[in-house]
Amino acid sequence: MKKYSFSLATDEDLIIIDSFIDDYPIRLAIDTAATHTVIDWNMLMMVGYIPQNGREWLQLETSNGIIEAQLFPLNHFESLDDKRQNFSVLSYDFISKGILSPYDGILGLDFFRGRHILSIDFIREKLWINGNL
Amino acid sequence: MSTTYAIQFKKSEPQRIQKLLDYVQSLDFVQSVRAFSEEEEDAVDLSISASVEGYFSTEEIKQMYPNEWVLIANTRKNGSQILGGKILLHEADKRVLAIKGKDLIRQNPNVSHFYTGEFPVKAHIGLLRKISK
Repeated sequence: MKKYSFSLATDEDLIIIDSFIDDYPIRLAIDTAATHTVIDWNMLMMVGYIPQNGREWLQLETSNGIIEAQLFPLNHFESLDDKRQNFSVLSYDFISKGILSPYDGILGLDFFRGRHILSIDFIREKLWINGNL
Repeated sequence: MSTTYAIQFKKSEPQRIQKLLDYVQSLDFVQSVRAFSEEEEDAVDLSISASVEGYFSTEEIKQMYPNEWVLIANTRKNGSQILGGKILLHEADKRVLAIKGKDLIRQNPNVSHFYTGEFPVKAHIGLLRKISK
């Protein structure tokens, strides 16, 4: 079992997890209200993923309305010590949606589903994950 | 006279790290090798570790380039917190940083990015669910 620390010092803080796309570090907020992992399109571009014209657009229902996003299979994705190959994430341009945030995306349920036990201690601000099941 | 060095690893790789520590310990000029616990690590100020040419702390970078996105190499971190690094690029627009930074990521070690300004309060992505395939 692996333990991580987080800080919810202010009302606006989220649980931010250091993650990696092809070894490049990004910050993702854990969001168990999200069905899918979403990463800022600008981050994917920086790491070298090029949006393809023919890539399918998907619709996401968000609290801000419907947003269109593209699915990107990542060569190597790592979060919470779980290394995945060809893990697919949804991506859209955060900047064009006016999102300026300290995180580069959200870690959704698709990362955990059928694979992990996630325990969150909101008093001690610690998070445990079992590793791969 | 003895000198103490602190090494901060980019990822948790217990087996590889232990092999490295065993090797360092085996060297005849090494007095001792000690791994810090998570609690002890919080008390270690890694910002005072050996200086590297071109290294700036995050506070210095924030003063030099307020309200900009900065790409740094040789990143020093304490847990998730970025302590500083060598400045590769600074841009007011995250998208420009992403476009220009693509090659720099491949050409430099331990690259990461951060924003030097304050984030707006209550910036949420708020993904709920994917509604089309």
